[in-house]
Amino acid sequence: MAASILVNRVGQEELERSAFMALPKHAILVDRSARVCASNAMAARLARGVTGCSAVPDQWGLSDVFDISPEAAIKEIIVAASGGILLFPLRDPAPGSPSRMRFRVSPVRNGGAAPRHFVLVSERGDALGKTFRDLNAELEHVDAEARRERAYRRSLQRANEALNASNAELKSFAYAVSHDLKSPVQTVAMLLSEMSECNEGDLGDDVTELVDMSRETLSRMSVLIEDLLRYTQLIGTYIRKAPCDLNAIVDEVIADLRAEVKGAGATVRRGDLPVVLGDAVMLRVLFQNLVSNAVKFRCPDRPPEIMVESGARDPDGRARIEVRDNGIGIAPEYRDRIFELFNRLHRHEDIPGSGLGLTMCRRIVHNLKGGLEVGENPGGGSVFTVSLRMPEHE
Amino acid sequence: MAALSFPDTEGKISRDRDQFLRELLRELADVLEDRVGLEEAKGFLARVGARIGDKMDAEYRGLLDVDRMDLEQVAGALVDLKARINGGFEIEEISGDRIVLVNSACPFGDYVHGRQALCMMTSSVFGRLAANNLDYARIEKTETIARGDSRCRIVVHLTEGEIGREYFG
Repeated sequence: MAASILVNRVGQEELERSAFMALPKHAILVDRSARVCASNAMAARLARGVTGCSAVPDQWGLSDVFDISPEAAIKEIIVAASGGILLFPLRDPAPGSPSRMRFRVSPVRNGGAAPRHFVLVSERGDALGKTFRDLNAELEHVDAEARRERAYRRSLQRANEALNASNAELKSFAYAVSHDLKSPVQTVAMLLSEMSECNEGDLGDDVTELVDMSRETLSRMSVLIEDLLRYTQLIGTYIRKAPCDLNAIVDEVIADLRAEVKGAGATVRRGDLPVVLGDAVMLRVLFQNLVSNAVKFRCPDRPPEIMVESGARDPDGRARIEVRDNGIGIAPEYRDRIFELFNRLHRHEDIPGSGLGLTMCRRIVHNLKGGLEVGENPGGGSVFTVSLRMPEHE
Repeated sequence: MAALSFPDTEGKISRDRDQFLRELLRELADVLEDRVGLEEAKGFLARVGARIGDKMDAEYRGLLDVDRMDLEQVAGALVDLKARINGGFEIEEISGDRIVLVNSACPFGDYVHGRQALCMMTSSVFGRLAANNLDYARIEKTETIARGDSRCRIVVHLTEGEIGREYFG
């Protein structure tokens, strides 16, 4: 009888009073067949609870209480005797109770020979369980964050799609309106020309003047519609950007505006300009508008002097190009308004234009992820500063 | 199928299956040590070592056609095992009380530095193999490459004592 080892060593009465029996934990003495040789009160209560017997059977094994075969149990016990923790699954655990029990194992020493008995003492704490619970909580938190992020991205994507659809609709509406306006304006202008030619000399001075005024108005309207068409084409447009040499672009602009420049007695100079990231056609429209404005909004008492030059980079590392003039300048309170759609500071009779040029310029730099600002030229006139990304930003 | 445009890695990346598996084991030990602590990580790896030790024990017994190996056979098995996995152990001493093994290379290579939990894997294979055949073993690691020594010196005690981890047959 295995229990006799302990009994022989300490005596029955001493065993009853021993720390083994008094332990406030489950304590079990088992042999190499996983049979229980002795158990304390807590272990006996566990056995009674699982087996359903009112008294602890004389001969019971670990397999009566735990869901494990005697062979597997003893194998686990031998490995855990080296210092590890033993986990045994309980048979029919009560709902809400732990499904496994943890034990520390000590061999009953046998002077270096294979031990014939082992003492199993239950462990209350579940240190690793806590670690894994913490890990799981951490994972759940990360998962929840990822779910929130995904939901946010989805809603953002939906909003973007809706916005793009709305932009596209708006653009095609604006295009259709301006395109459909162009044709009747041209027809009326043509009819007025016909009327003048057919009735040359018969219309009288007053009527002839009215017809001329009408034709002039229609001409302005035609320019306005053309600009409007160009502007609608810029809204929401994705521009495939490439390195563009601004020296070449600005030289072409100056050449295109030669007649205008000459007519105004203006001088346009260019400094050394950088290569920027953009679209050559867009950049040409941009600088054409800025240089043309500088010629148009000139001071009556001095010939226009315009300088296109490179400035220091902006805080985002973008290239800064300045278009300076000695023209009439723009009062600070109007500097924001000049970029608004159809906003004009002067009467058309004084300085012609559609009121769309600077709106278009701002739209172009916006499309190129750049910036456009206006300030005062220290020597009089205005400075338009364009910020544009450089090839290294790609 | 379209050909992948991927640079030739030949001679630039040395990772082979062996290295990959060692790295994997090292990372596993890292995560365990960092998350559950050295002692608990050792417990996990000891169990892995014990399982492998049991398998190898059965293999050697089958090869030698014996129910249990004797002292010299156990020592021979330990050396053979380590030679196979580039551990290169040699027997420094063998007696009825103990087997002393030394090596100058670790099976885990450079990945073992600073990770003593990995030593537990090897020592538990030793312990299990010895205890299964000789009833009892106590593994004492007097020197280890993992903690910065130039070699490993493993003493497999066959008698009970205070120092080292005990294995029971």
